[in-house]
Amino acid sequence: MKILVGYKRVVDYNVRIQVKPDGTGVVTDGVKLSANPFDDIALEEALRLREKGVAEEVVVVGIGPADLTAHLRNGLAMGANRAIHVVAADAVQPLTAARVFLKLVEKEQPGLVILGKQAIDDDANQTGQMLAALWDRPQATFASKVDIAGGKATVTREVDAGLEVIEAELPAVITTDLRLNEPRFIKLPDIMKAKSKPIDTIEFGSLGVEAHDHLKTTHYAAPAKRSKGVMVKDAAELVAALKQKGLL
Amino acid sequence: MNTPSPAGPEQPALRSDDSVAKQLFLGNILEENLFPYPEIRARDREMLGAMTDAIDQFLAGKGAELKQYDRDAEQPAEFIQALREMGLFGLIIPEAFGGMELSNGAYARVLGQTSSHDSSVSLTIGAHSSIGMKGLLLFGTDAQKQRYLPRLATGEMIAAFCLTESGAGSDAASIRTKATRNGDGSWTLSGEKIWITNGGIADFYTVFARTDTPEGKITAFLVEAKWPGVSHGPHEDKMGIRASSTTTVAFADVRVPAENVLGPVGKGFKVAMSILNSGRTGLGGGAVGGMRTLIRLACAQAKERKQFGQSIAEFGLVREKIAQMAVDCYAAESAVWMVAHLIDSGGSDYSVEAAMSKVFASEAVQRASYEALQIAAGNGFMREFPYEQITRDTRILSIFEGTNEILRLYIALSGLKGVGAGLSELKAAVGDIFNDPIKGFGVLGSYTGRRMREATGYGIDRIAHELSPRLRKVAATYEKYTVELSKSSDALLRRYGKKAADQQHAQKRLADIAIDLFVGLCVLSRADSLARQSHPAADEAASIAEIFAKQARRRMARNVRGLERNEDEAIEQLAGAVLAHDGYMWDVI
Repeated sequence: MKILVGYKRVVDYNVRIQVKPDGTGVVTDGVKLSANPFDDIALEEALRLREKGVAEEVVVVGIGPADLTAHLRNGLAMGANRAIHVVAADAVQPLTAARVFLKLVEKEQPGLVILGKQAIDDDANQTGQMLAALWDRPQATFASKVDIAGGKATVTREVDAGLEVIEAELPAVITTDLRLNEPRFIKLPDIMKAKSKPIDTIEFGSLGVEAHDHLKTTHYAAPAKRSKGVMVKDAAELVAALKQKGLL
Repeated sequence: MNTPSPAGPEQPALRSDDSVAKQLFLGNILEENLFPYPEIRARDREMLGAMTDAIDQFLAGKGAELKQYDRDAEQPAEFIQALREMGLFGLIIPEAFGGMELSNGAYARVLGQTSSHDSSVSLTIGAHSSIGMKGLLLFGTDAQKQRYLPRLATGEMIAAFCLTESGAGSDAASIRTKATRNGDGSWTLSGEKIWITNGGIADFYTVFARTDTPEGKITAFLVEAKWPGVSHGPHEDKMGIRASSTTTVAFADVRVPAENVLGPVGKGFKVAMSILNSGRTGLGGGAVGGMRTLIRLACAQAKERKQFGQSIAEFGLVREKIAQMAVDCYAAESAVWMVAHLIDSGGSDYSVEAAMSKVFASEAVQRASYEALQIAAGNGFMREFPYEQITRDTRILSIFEGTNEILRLYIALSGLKGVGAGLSELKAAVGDIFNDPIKGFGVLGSYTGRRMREATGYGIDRIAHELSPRLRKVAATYEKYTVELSKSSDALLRRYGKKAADQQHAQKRLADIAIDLFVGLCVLSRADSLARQSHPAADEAASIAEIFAKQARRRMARNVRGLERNEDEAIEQLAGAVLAHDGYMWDVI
């Protein structure tokens, strides 16, 4: 089985995000970029399935500008067999990304597509669901446990009521939640090995996908600063303070 | 001795085989080897970002454990295993033998990243790569490499360098560990080495022993820890780099097969010096990594700490420290990277530059640790904070791999020797003027007279490389003091003749002038390259070039003056008096 993994590059989660002064976006120049944490989890899960013998090949997919190569090399260093780089100058919105993935699915015929449940930059949480709909295959979102056997994926999902276990016929789309696994560290020799792994480059324009921006961003603004907290001595003082604020 | 660089061929060859540093003593700025500032190799650029990220990921979460290893004075076996799995023992070993084949520049940068987290980690991997198995890379036969490099690359074998003995530290040629040749061509090795980094965890030792063969006095051997008669002592209880293993290593009639002689029999001292010379960039890279951490800590502390109603980052005396740390770090980095490039380009005469970068970087990081701790003040003094450990850890840098005192003398004597050699080329009949300059005074006089005219003439020794007006002014400082250095070197030889070799106070001044010139020229060249690349911080780099040049000019002027007017004799006499008294001679009671 072949597994396709979405591998998006985002502003690193440790970076204190700064909004551009003109409000057109966030500062990315000179800012550390790294893999979307949920996508690292997706890749880790795919690698574990390969190590268990469930899958033979893991392919990481990235959509972005020419310099995305270095990012995809990290995915290869983590252990993916090869990478596909869809070269697109501008960021794509979820529906466009899902359409791109559909084209790649048609070409690659994977048994499973694993995506992060969302990317930490736009927090859209849509691409996996849209891909499943376009592909007309089952979806198992927010996976916290995945078992593959007999052409089926048994997926545990974390929902408000607790844990939900569902079965999905393969091929299917799985999106990952935070507690699915803990991604491995990249080791230095793996960075060397990644140099010789193939990265297929496909021009976005050649896929025949309509890049339609359904959403227009009007303005970015930094969240309002939290006001300073107050220290209280004991429960009585806390109750008094809450009452004073009209919260009790 | 020519030391082939394992990563040489990919780098464009240097345009001159001469040594930049030695040429400074002759009044020449060898700008073809200094400009443009060397760029990172394409192969390294791709990987280094990923590697430093991977190292951060590996070590960043281990702060508490690393601190505990310092307290316990040991890296536990599981941690050494994690270092192996991370691939940190194969950094400079060729890919053909399972390593990563990093250039000296990339290697120095990787050690900088490990040092930004923990010095002991850098020591464990640095002692392995920089010195422990470097001899095998530089001088090993194919058979020796086949036999050991694959296991050294994975860390299955960890390497250590065994030179120092209780009576032979800086005077390494006086070692007493002995190897005698047996009838079958094998050797029997006996003696004890001290302060061996990785001594307790190594499986592979590069050992230097006195052989007293007709070919020479000292020979290098590759010795396996598991051989009968090899043993090591307990971990030393050290001031800093405590978690790194330091032990004695003893050899009791160890039989070493003939095929484990490293390099030519009798040439062990040159083998040792070549290893140490090429290993110094790793140490410099580590110092730079330490400074980066100190600057980050100092910025965070200065912005967070409020006194008198404002953050202390607003105060001039705090800002001064932070700016000075940045100048020192940039300067050290510029010099270390330049030296790494000299080695990577297949240069064979880089030992003086390597010594200069080691002296400068080791002292710079200690200044930075002092100042960062000072900014943190009371907090800095508490063990809960990282400053005290960094202060302890960096103290070794001016002691090992050649004390800074020995290296300063080495820098000055190498420069003076060049001046002497130049003279002897001028008139072959005079022979070795350095060893007997008095004999050559006549020649010396006319030679220096001619060269002084050249040197003081306008437009001579100008750096031809095109520079922005700001940097042109900086260049003028180095042009002027390069001439001063050559004049002072000449003057010293003229005044003292062969006794110049004994003038340690003067040599220190010459060495310090030369270090300021070399480091300053590296800073200048890098600032120029950053400006050409429109680097976002190119302006700040030009500022650093200006600040460094002004500070260096004051130091160089003082040293030039000090060569003529000083209190050296009084100092010598006072030292004699204190020594005769075995201590301080005064009291108020």
